[in-house]
Amino acid sequence: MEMILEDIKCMPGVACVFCFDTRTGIVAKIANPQFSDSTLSSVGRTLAKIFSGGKQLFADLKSVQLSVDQWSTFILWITGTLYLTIIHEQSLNPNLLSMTLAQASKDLKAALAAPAAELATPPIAKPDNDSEKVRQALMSGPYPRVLAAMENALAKVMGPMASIVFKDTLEKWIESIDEPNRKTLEKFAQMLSSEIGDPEKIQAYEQMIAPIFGAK
Amino acid sequence: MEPALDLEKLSSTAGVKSYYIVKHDGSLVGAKAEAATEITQFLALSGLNGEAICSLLGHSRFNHMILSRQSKESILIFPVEGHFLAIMKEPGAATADLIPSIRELINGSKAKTMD
Repeated sequence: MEMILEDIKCMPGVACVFCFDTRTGIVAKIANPQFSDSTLSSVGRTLAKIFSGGKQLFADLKSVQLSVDQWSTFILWITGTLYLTIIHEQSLNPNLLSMTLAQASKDLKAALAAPAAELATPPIAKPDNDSEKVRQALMSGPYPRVLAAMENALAKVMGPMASIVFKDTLEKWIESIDEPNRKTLEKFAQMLSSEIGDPEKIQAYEQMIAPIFGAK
Repeated sequence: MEPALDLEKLSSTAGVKSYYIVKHDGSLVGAKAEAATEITQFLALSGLNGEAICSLLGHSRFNHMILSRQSKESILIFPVEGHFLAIMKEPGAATADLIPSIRELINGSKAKTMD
């Protein structure tokens, strides 16, 4: 994986290239010292959030590119929860970038598929059927009512964007747990709180959902 | 308040299939085509996340965002006077040509606002 990143980093104008996994964070990177791990991790996570939201609406979405002053940030989905992210100067030849990334994407997919590859493959938390089990469990008992109440409370503090944030966070939460219960629901509530961003709104949200947990 | 964009000119700009102007809360204030609420919300959320990345990189606002699609109908998002302008590109149009045209329109609207 490092070699594939090296191929990208050697293009003139590339300041940083890294593989980002939405579950485990930065998997591999080659970056100029001006970019801290925490900045890159936040950039990767935010770009991945844009990409995954877009993919739900536009199934043929390939990449997201953001132009900021002299920089351009670029994210490309590789496989599963793994993304390739690049920060480069605006002056970088777009055709060179596009062709290099297409090749890098193929190489990464092939490398990840190779059984003996010496890769820092992100650990798979659990097989898909666990997520399916969680989804089934969420459709019965108190969970539909609890989740609806949590989404309604979120809509009150976030407005119309709440439904997208809720769905996106719900998917991440489902993938991260073995079973829904009070403890994991509290984790879900924390994940939603962290998406709100505004401390006053977080407080209002937490006050609104406190009775939900009390009554469950 | 809705941005003072020349919507007629925007609509007739070569390469623009449709456009949406959304507030930061995801509500639609102007469009060439109908849009589902999920789409306008996503456009606003993308713009806001774009601004979050800007701030991580030490800048206040982004120039534009490109969501590239296999169908070549890429989506371009521009921040405009407290709103986001999203352009759905014609499949045959070149993104590199379309961006300066839209940028010129946005800059024209800013100049009009300042007059």
